[in-house]
Amino acid sequence: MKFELNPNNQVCSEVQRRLGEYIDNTLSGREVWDIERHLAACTECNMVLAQTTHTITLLQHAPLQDTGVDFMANLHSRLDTLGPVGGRRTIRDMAADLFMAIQTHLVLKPVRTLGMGVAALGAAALMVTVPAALHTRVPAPLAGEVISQENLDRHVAVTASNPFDDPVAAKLEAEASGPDIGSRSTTE
Amino acid sequence: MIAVGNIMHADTALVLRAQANDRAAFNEIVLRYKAKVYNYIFRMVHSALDAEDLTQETFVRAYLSIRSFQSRSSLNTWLFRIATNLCIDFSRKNRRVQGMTTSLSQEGEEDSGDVEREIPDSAYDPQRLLMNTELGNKLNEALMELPIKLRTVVLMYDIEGLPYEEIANVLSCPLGTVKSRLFNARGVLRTKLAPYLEINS
Repeated sequence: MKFELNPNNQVCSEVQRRLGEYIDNTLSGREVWDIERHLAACTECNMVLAQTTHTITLLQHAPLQDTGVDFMANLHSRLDTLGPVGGRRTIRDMAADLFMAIQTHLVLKPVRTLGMGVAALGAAALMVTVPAALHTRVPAPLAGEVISQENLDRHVAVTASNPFDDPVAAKLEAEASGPDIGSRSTTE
Repeated sequence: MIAVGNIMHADTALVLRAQANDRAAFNEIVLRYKAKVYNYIFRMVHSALDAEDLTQETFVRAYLSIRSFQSRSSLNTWLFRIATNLCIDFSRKNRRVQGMTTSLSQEGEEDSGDVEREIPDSAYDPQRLLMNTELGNKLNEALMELPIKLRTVVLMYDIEGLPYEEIANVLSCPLGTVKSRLFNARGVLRTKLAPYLEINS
């Protein structure tokens, strides 16, 4: 902002608009410089500056008012009727709490969703990496083996019996255990 | 700056204690802020009796809702917001407040021409000037003639010393609005008080 040395109404009104900030010292150095250059040549703006300064000083030195001597006693009498700090809970308070809870939920929901997403990705990564790591050490069961093991599991689950005392379970276990590795390799 | 920080810290401790049902902590909050709040309200409503009632109401409301106070604003700002809302409600309900003022341009009963307007001593001393009841009255009248939106800002900034940001927070308005209201308020006050100010042209 630059104020011309030759004042005219437009420049004066702009300077006067900034005089409050000039008095409050909230302008930049350049703005202060421009205003002071204008003030050096403008009687009207100087008059406004003086009046504004005096008005602000009057406000700042206005005598402080304080409450009457009974203020605290009267206040405590009122507070005594209200119960503990925070007052009794009204339906409105509970509604406000509910609103806050909903707001909190809405704010936290994206964070929770993100967390669940990260957890799902982590679980997926585990599902991919761990079985793969296991497969490198344990040979995959054959199709027949899987079916037999499933039959055994289902039987044990349904009858709740111990496969070692159950002839059906023993038979299914025998099927599930299948031929030895050597014979398996021959069938492949 | 350190002092302000300490006050803030002490305020936080008091609020936390008050939120935990500590009546003594709330009492300390009242003692700390009652003069500021009362002074502000008094200049808003221009009546000692109403100001006392509204100040009580401010602290009753603070008492009832202290649990909902959060650190998004300072305790000072929060109390001023409660007080401002009460004053706005009061002025809406009470026409007397907005219509009670006497224009400075009118010759009132107390201003029949016999009252000395000029300040005899050229040494500028605002406190001495305000001891002049006439000027003090004119200042209060000029404040009361301001629209309430302008009055709140000029009282908070020039008398209570709140920074722009806190005022914007109290009034829930942009910083630019605070600045423009302050400019307008000061302009109106300057124009009205000019005849009573001692300015050597």
